[in-house]
Amino acid sequence: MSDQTWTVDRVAAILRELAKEDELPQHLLTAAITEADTVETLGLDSIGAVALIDRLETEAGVPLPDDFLDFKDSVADIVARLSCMS
Amino acid sequence: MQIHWPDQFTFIGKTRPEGEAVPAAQIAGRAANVADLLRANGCVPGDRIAMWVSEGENQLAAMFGSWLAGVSFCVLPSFAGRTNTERSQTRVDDVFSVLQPRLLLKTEGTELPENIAGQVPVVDLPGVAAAVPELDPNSLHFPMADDDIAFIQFTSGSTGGAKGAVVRFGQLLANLTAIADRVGMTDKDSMVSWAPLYHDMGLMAVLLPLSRGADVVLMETDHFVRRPAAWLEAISRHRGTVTTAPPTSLKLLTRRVAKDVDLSSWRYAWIGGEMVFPSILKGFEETYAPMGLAPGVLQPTYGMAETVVGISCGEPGEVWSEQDGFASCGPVLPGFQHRIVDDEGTPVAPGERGYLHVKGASVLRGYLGLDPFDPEDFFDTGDVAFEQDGRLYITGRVKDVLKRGGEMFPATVVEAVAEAALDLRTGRAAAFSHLRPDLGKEELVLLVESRQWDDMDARKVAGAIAQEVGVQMDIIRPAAGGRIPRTSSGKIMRQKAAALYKEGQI
Repeated sequence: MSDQTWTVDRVAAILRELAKEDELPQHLLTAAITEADTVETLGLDSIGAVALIDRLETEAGVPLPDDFLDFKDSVADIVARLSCMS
Repeated sequence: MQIHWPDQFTFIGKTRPEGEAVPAAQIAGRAANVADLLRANGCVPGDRIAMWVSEGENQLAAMFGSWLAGVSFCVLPSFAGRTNTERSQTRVDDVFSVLQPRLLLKTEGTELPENIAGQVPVVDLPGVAAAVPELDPNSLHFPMADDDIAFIQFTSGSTGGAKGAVVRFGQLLANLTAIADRVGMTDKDSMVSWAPLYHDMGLMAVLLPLSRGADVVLMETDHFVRRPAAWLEAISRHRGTVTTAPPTSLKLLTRRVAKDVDLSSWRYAWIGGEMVFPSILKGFEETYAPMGLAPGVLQPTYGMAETVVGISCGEPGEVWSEQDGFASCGPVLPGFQHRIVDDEGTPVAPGERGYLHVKGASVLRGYLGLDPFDPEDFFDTGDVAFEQDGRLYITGRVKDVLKRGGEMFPATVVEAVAEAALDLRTGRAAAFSHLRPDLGKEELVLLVESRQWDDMDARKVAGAIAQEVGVQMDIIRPAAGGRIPRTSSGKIMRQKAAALYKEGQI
């Protein structure tokens, strides 16, 4: 998977997948997710953030630190950081 | 209260991830210093103080220093440090107006959140690096009697107002003794805990080992939140035998598995603070069995701040059992009387569900500034349970609080944030838990009566609740006007709304 480039759409797809698995809020299945959205405005708490880090790590194929995400991080921040790591 | 001091404490945090051993004599010295500081700042026996301290040394020093001075303490609840909105300020103001602390203790060089600063005089404790004179901990004398207040614990009352549970030494000792006896705790045990001290489980994790001379390995809660695996690594490194955690943390660690840990020293874990579902326990047990986790270590536990902390927990080594999709929370602790009753207050037959009431030496006499409970009467836990083969099973709740990650969130606060985010009148939203044993969690649901609704409304509400309350709502849905059930006086009936939601009728 690590050969894929990181985009807002890819992160949004991961968020939706986790919502489908009942790890993240259900409204993420249908609501628009933009690059400006933050972990917090998406409605995630620290438990949801761990689920997201874990899935991003699997997708990225590289270990991510447990404090990879901050509540104020935007989707664009996540894309930028993952792009540097892959 | 008799404290049995271990030789040293171990503190783990961001700056000392491997753990730093600190002699008990240093904690005792710090505690004596706190007592002097309190007296010098006008505290007299019977006063109350507030604490906003994150370093282990100063947390213990503040607790025991208060008691040395005959003063009770309150570790300020987590919401006190959240965002600086008008609503959060109101909640913090409520806490201070109920608590009326003489002063607030913090560590020098740390900053107070804006909504706490300026409420009462602040007294600084010396930083962790500061040299303090050591003192034989056994020379400390706590002048408190059974009837004196040990600490105040704020709970999320179902109405959302600040409710300070008043824990007296007699009740504290009764509960600690009951739990320590059940678990067979001795000075050979070692407690590893990251649970926050504003939470009953966190305070218990410090006081219980000290009631039997066991070791204490205290991890800063933030350290766990940033890196949950650090908890299991600490058990492995420090040969922890006992610990406590909410089931959510087990779920996190089943998903994100700790590596290279040896859990063979671990013998008992109180798992509680929220509904404990069998799927979560099984997942964790299967994941960590190859790393030395023995069957019968995880013990679903039931209790609440109103009974100090514990009401029931399993016998050591006894594997929890499952009935109707619920996990057993062990036999009720010694010293409690309990009954499970129906709507009319009549005891139900064994195995049938009803409202759980308890009575005994651990049950508090009331909340600060509110009418006392009648000690002759049973205390209504607000939880629904059944009993089978002498084991308690908790199946639901009638009080209006949401639980996630061991934290309690008043439904009314969640609703108020949602209504404000959408500019709706009060009473247009209903928040409740929908039990999902299949997912191993309580699904948190918010229904909103709003004429207009689109996806962005759900987003707006979810973001506001995450920011202001710090909890992730699973489902946020519109309901047609008038669909949320109300009493004749217009009060939201959340349990009824939950039942209708479960049946797909709302």
